[in-house]
Amino acid sequence: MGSKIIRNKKMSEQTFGMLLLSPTLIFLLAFVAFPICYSIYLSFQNVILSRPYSDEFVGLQNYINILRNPVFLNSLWKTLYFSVSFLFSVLVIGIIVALVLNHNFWGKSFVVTCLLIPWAIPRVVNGLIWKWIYDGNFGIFNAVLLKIGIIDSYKFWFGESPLVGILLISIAYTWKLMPFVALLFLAALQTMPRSLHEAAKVDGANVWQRFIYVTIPYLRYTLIIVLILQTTLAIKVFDIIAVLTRGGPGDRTMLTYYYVYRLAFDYLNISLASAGGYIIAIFIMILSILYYKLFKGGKD
Amino acid sequence: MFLTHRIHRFRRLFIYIAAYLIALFILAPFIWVLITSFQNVNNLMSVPTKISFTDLNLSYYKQLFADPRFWSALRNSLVVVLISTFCTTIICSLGGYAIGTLKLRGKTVLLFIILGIILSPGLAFLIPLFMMLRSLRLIDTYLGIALTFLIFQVPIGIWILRGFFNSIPREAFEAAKIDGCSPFGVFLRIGLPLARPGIITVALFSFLDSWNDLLIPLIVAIHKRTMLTVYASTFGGLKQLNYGGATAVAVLSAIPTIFLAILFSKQIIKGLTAGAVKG
Amino acid sequence: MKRLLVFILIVILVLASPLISSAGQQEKPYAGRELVVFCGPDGPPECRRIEPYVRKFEEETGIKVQWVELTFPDLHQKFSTMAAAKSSAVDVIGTWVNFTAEFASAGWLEDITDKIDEGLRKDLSSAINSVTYKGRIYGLPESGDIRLLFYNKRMFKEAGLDLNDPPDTWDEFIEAARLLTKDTDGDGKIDQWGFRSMGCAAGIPAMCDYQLFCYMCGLDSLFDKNDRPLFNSSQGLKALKLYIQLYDEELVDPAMYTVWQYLEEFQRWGAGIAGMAFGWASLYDYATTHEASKVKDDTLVAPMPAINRSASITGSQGFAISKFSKNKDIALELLKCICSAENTKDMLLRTGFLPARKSVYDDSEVKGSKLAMMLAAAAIQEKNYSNRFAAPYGSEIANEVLGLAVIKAIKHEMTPEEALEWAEAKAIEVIAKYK
Repeated sequence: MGSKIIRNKKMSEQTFGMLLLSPTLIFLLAFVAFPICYSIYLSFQNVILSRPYSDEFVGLQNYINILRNPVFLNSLWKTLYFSVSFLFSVLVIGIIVALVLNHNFWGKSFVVTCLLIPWAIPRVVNGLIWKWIYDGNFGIFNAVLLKIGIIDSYKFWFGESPLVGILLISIAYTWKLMPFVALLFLAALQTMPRSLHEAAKVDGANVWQRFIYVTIPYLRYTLIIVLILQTTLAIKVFDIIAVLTRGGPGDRTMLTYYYVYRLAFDYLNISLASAGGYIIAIFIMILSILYYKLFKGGKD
Repeated sequence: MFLTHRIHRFRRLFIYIAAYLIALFILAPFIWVLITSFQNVNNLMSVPTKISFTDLNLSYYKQLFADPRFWSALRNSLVVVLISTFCTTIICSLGGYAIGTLKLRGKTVLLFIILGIILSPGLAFLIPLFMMLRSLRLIDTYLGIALTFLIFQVPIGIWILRGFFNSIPREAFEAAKIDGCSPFGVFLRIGLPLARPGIITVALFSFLDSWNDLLIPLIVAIHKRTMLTVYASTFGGLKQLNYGGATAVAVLSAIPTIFLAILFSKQIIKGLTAGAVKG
Repeated sequence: MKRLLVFILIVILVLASPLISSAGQQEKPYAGRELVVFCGPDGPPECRRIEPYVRKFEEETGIKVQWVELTFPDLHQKFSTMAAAKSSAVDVIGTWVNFTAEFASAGWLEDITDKIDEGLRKDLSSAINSVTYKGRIYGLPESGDIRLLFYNKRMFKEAGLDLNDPPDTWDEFIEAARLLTKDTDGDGKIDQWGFRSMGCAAGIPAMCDYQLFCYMCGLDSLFDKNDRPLFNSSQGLKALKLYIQLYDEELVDPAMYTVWQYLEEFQRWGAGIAGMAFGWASLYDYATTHEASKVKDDTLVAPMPAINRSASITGSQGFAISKFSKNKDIALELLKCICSAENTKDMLLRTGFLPARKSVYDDSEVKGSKLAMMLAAAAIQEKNYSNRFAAPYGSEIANEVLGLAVIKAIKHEMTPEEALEWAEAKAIEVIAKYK
């Protein structure tokens, strides 16, 4: 009798679990699995919404075309440049902020709450804020730089080389996401046992050495997570560009994700855009695996 | 002894200065925009921008409040946010409990898929989804927009709630089962209350995500159901030289989110850092 | 009993009141209906161009019009998405030649050629081109526009140039540009430039400028009737080289690299930093009357200087009706109202935008107004102009092919020859997709 009850219990647990999961599963099936299959199918066709529908099958032509598209290719470089500068600044500043905040001081919770504000506000608002700051005619960025003496007249920053424009966007994005990174590192730091530091001090390590050989290895796991998340967010940057520059002037700040959006909803070439979207997805996948392997390799 | 004390004091001073400088830099851009939204047009158009704290100007806000499209965008945002938060919370509570506490076959595969969705580029889904919603005539409807939001919020919600449910000790469930509770009763009476902080977190994230998102409303809500973020983004294009309006709408769009962030800061932080620290 | 009768009477009156009030509205057969219009920038709040006529229309007909203002790129994207979703949410869209070509060939605009009577059609000026595609009409124009040479009186005097003889050959023009480019406040930095026009901030303005130069060099059209590129020729090359020369010698306003929106172009001229401009006729009113303009008394207008010939481009705007609209009848009424002779004359006098109706040019009030100088120059150019380039592949060609090639040539990322070669090859590829 005992084993019979146990067997029934186990089965009903599985069924019960599936029952609870059923809304999720139905949802995922209908609105995730099906669209993915559909878009893979679309990427092998040649559907342009401003023309009569054709179910012409073109195989890998879209993938080839988009990889030959100079705007798309340039956007890959620009996205790379953006991601690297963004990741660098967000990591460095994030860790510094986390280290500073990893002490107890009066008003600490106020400062930590302040960190949440850039994270909480809409990305569109972030775009509007920095659009005003960077404005070529009246922006405070120009005013400050002029006062300090770095420039001698107001500049239309986004009209300068793409590197400048993308760097400015990267700064704006860093402002918004750095708090998130800092909070993650802070949480990790706060669980770090003091004993590790004590042991290192006993061994004669100074602050800098302790940082490199004790703190950073401890943060390894958090670092992977931060890298994967922030890289994904960097590649998917959209709202800021939509408000600040729309990819312009020309195609100076046309990053890949925004360009795919334009292909789909401005030029209405959804087949090409689907192909582009998958290329981005493949990149993200490769990067995530790379990150994971890179850091797992050194873990003891 | 005296020397280390001085170094210690110096270090504490440094921490204070650094921490408050950080807070300043973080708040500064937003405060700048807030101040700008109350300035006169002449001040804004002067080079460098003049700021006056006495000669305040509410006209940008008045213009916004007089614009019926602002109100309809606001209303649409509220409706969609409420619908999607409600649905997400329910679906994720059920799903998170199942994955977090029960032993299920295929659990890891499902988690893997969910993680994949979280990391993937949303546009890859949105393009075919647009076509699907188009045939179902759900473009520009509350239902269509809310469904689209669910696609992206449910995976994150399940991920977060799984962690919360996971951290509830088994004994609590066992005790209830021994007391003769049905599996659903265990969920209702033990699981939900104990995971309440997690559920609040998921509701918060869902709210913030729906309120803040631009890409989805831009694609799925074309005109009748435009949301506040899309309305705000139009200020980036047309009224390029009327930064008063742009800053005013920026402030208004941000206020609910800031309010929530301050009110629920602890829950949000817990939710954000949930998966980052390996126990 | 009496009270009951009174009560019943009141109820009947209340129920009947809608009928009574609607009886008075017999003259407004469309009352209560609503139209949604997407349009391009309509001007600053102090001086709206078309909106006043829309409000008048609302009052006269009882139709409510939702007037949504967007930048042209936004308009393109929004309408594209809506049309792709076959949404009936928008009834009328602001359009210009390019959009009309693109949207009409996609089948998204309503063909109203047969709904326009002969009298109206004959009276419409060259502006009709903004709503025509392949001979069919898809809407009605709201204003015309043409490019003219603007020059600054004060700067000309300072540079010793003759006010009554503005440049009318290329050599005179570039010489004047050189004389006008200088440092005016002695700090070593150039703050006045000889010339400005639409610029190279994006593909569309670059291509527009380039087309103008092509026409001035004798190349009548960028593509032939069969959509084959014609710009990779000696004339096209000469046009590109002359245009680039202006940038190379740094005679151009640096903002031409970065800003391109109607209002910003106007503002740059109004800020008084350029001695000459190839501006749209609509700039004249802004420059001479707007409070932010610093060149109110200094703006003069003349026909364009000639290379092979004096040339100009028309750029008109109009409104078209969406094929998916459920209110096409009242939409047409709105369009007719906007381009009525009365309203277009009023628009001309108020804002300086050229009228969509030929009859307005002959109006005595108009001829005696302060716009006389501009109209005289416009009248000359109306005899020697090219329509702004338009084709369904227009946006793509502008942003990703020809416009982009011009920008690259300006930045010396390619030589002019290479740029045109590349653009020709790419254009053929792009156009093939549209066949």
